Amino acid sequence: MTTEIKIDKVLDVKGLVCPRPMVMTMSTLKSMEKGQVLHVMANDSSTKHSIPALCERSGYKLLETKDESGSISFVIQK
Amino acid sequence: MGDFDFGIKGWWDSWYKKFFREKWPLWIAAIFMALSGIIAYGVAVWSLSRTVTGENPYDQAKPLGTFLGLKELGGIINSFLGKIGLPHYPFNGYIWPDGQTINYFVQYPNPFLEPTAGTMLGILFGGLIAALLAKEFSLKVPLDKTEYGLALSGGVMMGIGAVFMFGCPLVSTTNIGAMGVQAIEMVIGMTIGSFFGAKIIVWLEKRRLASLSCAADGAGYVPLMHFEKTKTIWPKMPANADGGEPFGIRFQPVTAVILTLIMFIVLARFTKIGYPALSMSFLAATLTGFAMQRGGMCFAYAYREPFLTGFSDMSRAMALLYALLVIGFLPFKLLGSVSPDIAYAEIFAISPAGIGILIGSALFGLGMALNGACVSDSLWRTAEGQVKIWVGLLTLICVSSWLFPMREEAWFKTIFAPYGSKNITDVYLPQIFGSYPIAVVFTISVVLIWALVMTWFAGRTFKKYMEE
Repeated sequence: MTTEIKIDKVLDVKGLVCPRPMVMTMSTLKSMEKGQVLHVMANDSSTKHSIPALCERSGYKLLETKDESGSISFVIQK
Repeated sequence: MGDFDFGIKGWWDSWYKKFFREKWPLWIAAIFMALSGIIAYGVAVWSLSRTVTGENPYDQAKPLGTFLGLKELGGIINSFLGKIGLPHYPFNGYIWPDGQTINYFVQYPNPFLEPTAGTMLGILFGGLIAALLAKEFSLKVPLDKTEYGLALSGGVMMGIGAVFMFGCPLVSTTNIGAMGVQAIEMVIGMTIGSFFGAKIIVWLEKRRLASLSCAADGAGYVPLMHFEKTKTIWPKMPANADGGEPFGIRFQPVTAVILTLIMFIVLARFTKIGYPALSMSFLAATLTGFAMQRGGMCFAYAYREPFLTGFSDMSRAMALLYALLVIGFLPFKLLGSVSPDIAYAEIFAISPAGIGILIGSALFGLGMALNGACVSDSLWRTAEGQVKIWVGLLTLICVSSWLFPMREEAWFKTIFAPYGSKNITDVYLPQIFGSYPIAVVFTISVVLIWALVMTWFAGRTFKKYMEE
């Protein structure tokens, strides 16, 4: 599924603890153009709640979420 | 089983996923936390009545709170420092005000019998069970030095702040339910501290972001830059996605079930040898830790995010928790007010107030914003295997334990916490207003105003983010 999506930026925030993954995701999305796609890789469980909430509120499209073996990833279109 | 399983497996899988794997809605987690807080308060009142009748004086439960337990365990570290000749504060066990209504506070023969230490361990255990059931436990060691810097500085600030504010955010939560003046000071102080903490984080992240984001090759998944900022030391992950789920992950739910069974056996044994109140208190704390991990309930998030990312959902969930505790504690307080033997139940968790509480809670708010977690948040996140959080928690324990005896000095009380030092009912809202209904309405109004203020700040922060 992911391989079909053109990723414009990758943000690896694995190992960072709340609030840093969320702050960096927001800042990175802010620097991107509308329509561009960001892939976020995290392993802090707080992102399971915060990143979908960000997408819902901002209108960003959450194209894909994966939660496997302690590794969480999000594909977001601005 | 095939056609004869009547859909039981499918039902179980879906129920398991909903309850143990997916994050709970915040309001559900808040209700569970309130429920466990009310149970803990009820158990504390019951154990008080047993103390009055002269039964086991060590089987004393207290309302939910973690700070004193941490300080107590830190006392062991402090004693050790003294033994090896390093700077320390003499640790002489418990220094509690005796002879209020009854001689309720005693010197415990073992720090683990201090009820708050049990609460702390219960939250840790509940968080661990929840993390294991969700397959979310892994030992994560950050390699990024900034994380340790934030944990250490946050831990020191929280340690000092906790001594001045005489508690932690969980204590303030219980204190709000108990309708103490100290709680209102704590909420205001932590809000101010978190505001400044959020500003520092924004400043730090702006400087670092450039090195953390990178452009992909445009064709697909492979990142152009791989930056190793963490090391998951257990369980070992497979090299690729087809490697299957590692044994260390697959086995976690079974481990949780085994640990839960062991817990019930140990608690049954404790109950049999005369500690039913401490056992029930531990269970209530376990439920708190479980609900906190499942909902991701985080005091640091609730106080910081409206100023940082513009989210106030956690603040509103905390406000719901506060309000439910006010209502839930009420029957026990009324019971205390009409039963002279357990009159102390009416003023459980009420502490002196003064400028020190405001200063301490502001410092604590700043520290928890930087560290990313307060005491109870740290406990369930510790149980997830976040090594950075361990650093912040241990720093907090050592600093607060080292400074705690200062709180008992006369000069400290006079300057920083003069109100209620002699007569604790001076800072008890129902006594101040002379009426329970007015105190209840006042406390819930304060909580509601706080939630509205946080929601307003969050809206402002998010609007600014979207517009810039």
